[in-house]
Amino acid sequence: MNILVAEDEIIMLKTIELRLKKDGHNVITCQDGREAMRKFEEFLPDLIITDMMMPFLSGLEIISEVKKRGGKKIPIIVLSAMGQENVVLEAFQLGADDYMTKPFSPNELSVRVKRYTPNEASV
Amino acid sequence: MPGLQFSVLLKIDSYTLMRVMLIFIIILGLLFICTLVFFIYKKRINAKIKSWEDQVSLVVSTAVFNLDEEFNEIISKNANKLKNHRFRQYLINEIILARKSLSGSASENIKMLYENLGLNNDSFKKLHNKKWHIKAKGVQELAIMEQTKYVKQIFRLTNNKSELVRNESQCALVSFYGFSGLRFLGVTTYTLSEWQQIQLLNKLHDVKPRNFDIIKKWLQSPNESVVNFSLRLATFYNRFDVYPDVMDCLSNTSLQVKLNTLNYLKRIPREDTAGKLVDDYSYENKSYKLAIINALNDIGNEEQIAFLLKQLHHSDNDIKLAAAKSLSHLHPLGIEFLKTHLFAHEDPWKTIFLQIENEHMI
Amino acid sequence: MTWQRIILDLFSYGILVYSIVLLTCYILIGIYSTAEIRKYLRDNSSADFKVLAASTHLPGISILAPAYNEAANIVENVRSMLSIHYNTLELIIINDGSKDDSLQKLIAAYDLYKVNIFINEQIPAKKVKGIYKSRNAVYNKLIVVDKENGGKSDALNVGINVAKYGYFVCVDVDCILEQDALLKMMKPFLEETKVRVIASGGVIRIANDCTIENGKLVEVNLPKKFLPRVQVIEYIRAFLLGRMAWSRLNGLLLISGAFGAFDKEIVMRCGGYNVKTVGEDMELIARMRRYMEEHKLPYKVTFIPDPLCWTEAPDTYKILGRQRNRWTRGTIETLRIHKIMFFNPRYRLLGCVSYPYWFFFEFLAPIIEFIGIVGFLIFSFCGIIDWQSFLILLGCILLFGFLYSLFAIFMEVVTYNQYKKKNDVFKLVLTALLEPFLFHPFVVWSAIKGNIDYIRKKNAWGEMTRLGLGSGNKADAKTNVINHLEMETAPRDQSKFV
Repeated sequence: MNILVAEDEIIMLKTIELRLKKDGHNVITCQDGREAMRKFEEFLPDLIITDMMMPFLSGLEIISEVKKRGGKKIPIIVLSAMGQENVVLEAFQLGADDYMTKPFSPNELSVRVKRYTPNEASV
Repeated sequence: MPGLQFSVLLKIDSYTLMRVMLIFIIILGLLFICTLVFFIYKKRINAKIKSWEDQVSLVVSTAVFNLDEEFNEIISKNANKLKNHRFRQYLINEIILARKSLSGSASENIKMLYENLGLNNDSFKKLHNKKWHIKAKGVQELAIMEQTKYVKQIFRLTNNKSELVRNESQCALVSFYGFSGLRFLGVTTYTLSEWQQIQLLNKLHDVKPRNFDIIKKWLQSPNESVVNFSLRLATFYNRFDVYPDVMDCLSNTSLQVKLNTLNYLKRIPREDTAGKLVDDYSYENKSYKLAIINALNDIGNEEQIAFLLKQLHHSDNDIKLAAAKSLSHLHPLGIEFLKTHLFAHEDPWKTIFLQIENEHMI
Repeated sequence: MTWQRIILDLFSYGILVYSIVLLTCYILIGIYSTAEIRKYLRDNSSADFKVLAASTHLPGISILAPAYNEAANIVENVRSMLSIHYNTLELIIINDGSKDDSLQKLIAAYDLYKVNIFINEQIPAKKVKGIYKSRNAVYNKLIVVDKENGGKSDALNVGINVAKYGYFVCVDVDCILEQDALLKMMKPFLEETKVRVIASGGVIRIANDCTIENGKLVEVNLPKKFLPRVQVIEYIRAFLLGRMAWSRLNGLLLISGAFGAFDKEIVMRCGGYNVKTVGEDMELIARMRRYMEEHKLPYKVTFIPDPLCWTEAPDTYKILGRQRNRWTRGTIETLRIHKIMFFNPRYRLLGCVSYPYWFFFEFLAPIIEFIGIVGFLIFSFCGIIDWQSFLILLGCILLFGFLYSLFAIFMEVVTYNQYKKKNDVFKLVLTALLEPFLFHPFVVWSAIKGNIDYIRKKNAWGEMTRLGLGSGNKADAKTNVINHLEMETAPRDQSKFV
C-alpha cells in the first residue's frame, strides 16, 4: 500500500517510515503541508497519515483539501499532540477516519493502518 | 546632521574629529567582519546539522524498534561524531522530540538509548553550569528522560532564584512523580506565574492524584499563587471532598482567588452553593459579579430568580445580558419567559432577548 | 561680539548638544536592546509552545481585524488566521463599510448567516449593520461584523465591544501571522507576577517579494526593490533595537497597530481607540499608560522580538510619502493630546524619558534637520562655511548612522537570521550605505509635509493602496528623491504605525 506520511519532525517521520516499511508498505514522506499536498497529487496514495501542527498547511487543512480534490475515499489518519475534544471533533467532521494522540505507539499505528489494507480488511 | 552647518562657528578641532571618524571606521570594519563571520558560521552549523539529520534519525528509529544489528552498525559508523559535543547535543534534542511523541515500548527504548549513550551525564553536567538557561535546559532534559536518580539535585532547584530554572525543576518533579511531585508547593516562596500554573496543569493532564488531602494545607498557603493553583487543581480533579476548604476561600479578598473559587463551585456545587454566591454578590468587581451570574446559569435554582430579575435592571448591560441568559435557564417558563417580560419590547432588553433566543436555536 | 554672533553661537551649540544627546541615545538603545534580546532568547530557548497550542487552560483571545476594501485577499487571509494555533480563540473580522464585495465574498466562502447578538456598546461607535457566523462548525471561531464606515479606530472599537475574551489582539487583515504568534504573544501576559501587563507588541517584518501561498509565508526573501529593502533595515532597527530597548526600560510608547495584544479591561476603562487621530495605536498606548500612572497601578508594556507578523511595505515613493506623512501627524496629535506628561515627574519614566524622547527625537528631529539644511544652504551662499571641518563632521555623522544600521544587521544575523541567501548580507549592507542619500531625505521631507499638513488641519485619511500580497502587481516607482538635501541618517523609530 502507498502511504503518505506528513510530519514536520524528521525524527518522527523516519520512525513512522521505518515501522510502516517493516509491514511492507511503500512510504512517501513529507515534512510540511505544502509538500504533502504536492505529493498527494503526484502519487495519489492509498492512505494518508498526517500531523496536525505543521508549517504552511495544518492537518485540518490537509484533510479538507484532500477531500475537496477528489480524495473522498482515501482514508486519513490524524496523528496529533492535540487531544482536545473540539480538535478531534473538528478533524472527524472534516472527514478524518482515525485520530491518534501523541505520545503514540508506532505498533498501534501499524495495527490501525492494517485495517485499511485491502486484503486484510476483507478477511 | 544639522549641527554641521554651523561648525564654522564652533571651534571644533578637526584633528579630534578625524580621530573620531577613524574610530568609527575601525568599529565599522570590525562589526562588518563579525556579521560576516556569524553569517557564515550559522550557515555552516545548519549545513552540518542537515548532514547529521539522516544519521541521527537512523540511530533513533533503529533503537525504537530494537533493530540491534542496524543499530550497532550505525553507532560504530558514527563513533567519532559521538565524541563531538555539538553532535551529542543535537542527538539529545532529537531523542527528546521522539520521547515526547512516542509511548509504550518505543518510549522505553528511547530512554534506554539515552542512557546507553551516556547522554544523561551530558544533561546532568548542565545542572552545574553557571548560565541559568543552560541549567534549565539540563533539568528539562533529565525530566523528559525520566532520570529520577537526579531528583535530589533537581528538588533543590525548585526554589532557585532564576525563574526558568525554578519552573523547569517544578515541571520535572511533576513528570517524575505526578501529583506527589507537587510537594514543592508547601515550601516555595516564589510566586507561581500564570504561565507556570498552566504548564503544570498540562503536565498533570493524565495523572491521578494521591494523598489529595495535602491540598487543604496549600489552600491556606500564605503564597497566593499556591492558593490559586490549588483551587485550579481541585477543580481539575473534580474533588468534592475539599468543598468546605474551598468554600473558605470565597471570603478571600483577592479577586483572582475568588474567581478560581467560583470556577470550582460551578463545577462541584452543593445544594446551598447558589445561595452562598448570591450572598457574596456585594463584592465590588464587575468580572466577579458577571462570573457569579454566569455560574448561576449552571448551578442556580428557582430561588435565585428574584435576584436575577433584579439584576436584569442593573445599570451595566453586560450584567443584564448575563442575568437574562441565566433566567432563560432557571425560569420555569424557560426561554418563553423573556417574551412575557415587561420590557421585552424595549431596548436594550429587546436585543438582549433576541440574542438569547438566537443562541437557543443553534 | 555682535548680537548676531551670540544668537548663532547659541543656536549652533544647541544643535551640537542635541546631536550628541541623540547619538548617546542610540548607543544606549544598542546596549539595552542587546541585553533584552539575549534575555528573551535564553528565556524561550527551552519553551515548548507546541504542547501548549491546544491547552484549554490558556486565557481566551479575540483577534480583531478591521477590513476596508480588502476583497482581493480577504478570504485567503481569514483562512490563514483561522489556522493559528490557539485553543480559546475568536476571530472577529470587522468590515468597516467596504465599498467592494468583501462581505459577500466572506459570506460565500465561509457559509455565513446573520445572527442576533446583543452588543454592549461600552465604547461608543458607529452602527453595526449585522453580525455573521458560519454554519460550518469548522469555522466556529469566525465572527464577521458588518458596520457603517467609520475608520480604523471606530472599527476596532466595535470589535472590542463584540469581543468576549479578556485579551484582544489587533492585526491588519492583510498581515501574515506565524502560526504560533498568539502563544508567544500571550506569554508575557502570563509570566509577569508582580505587575499587570497591559499590552504587548510584536515585531513587524516586511513581506514584499516573500513567497506567500494560501495566506501563509512559505519563503522569506529580501525585497528586490530598493525602497522595501531599505525599509527592511529600518524595521530591524526600529523593532529589534528600538522597541526592545524601550521594553527593557518599560518605556514603550507605541505598539504598532498591525500587531499588538491588549488587556481588554484596561482598554475599556480608558475608553478604547481615539477616533479623532490618525495615530490611534500610539495614542491608545499613551492613554493606557497615563491611566495606569494616574491611578498608581503597577503595570508594564512588553514587546517580543520574534518575527511573527509579516506585512507588505509601500514600494513607491508616493505611497511611502503618504504613510510617513500620516505617521508624523499621528505623532504630533498624540504628543499634543498628552502634553501634560512632558517632563512631569508625576508620570515618572513615562513623563521624564519616553515622552521627551518622542518629542525631541521623533517629532523635532526632521524639523531640526530641515532647518539645518536651509541654514547650510544660506551659509554656503554667504561663503562662511569651513568646508574641511564641515565635511569631516558630516563624515562622522554619516558613519555613525551607518554603524547603527550595520549593528542592526548584525543583531538580525545573530538572532533570527531571516535572510539566509548567499549575498543577502552584502545587499543589506549596501542598502544601508545608500539609505542616507536615497531614502532618508525623502522621509524627512515627508515628515515636514506632515507637519505642514497638520498645521493646515488636513486630516484627510492617507489611504495606503495595498498591492495585494502574493500577487505580482507592479506599480511605477516614482523617484521623487530630493537628493540635494544633505543630511545624516537619523535612524529613527520610523515604524510607528506600520
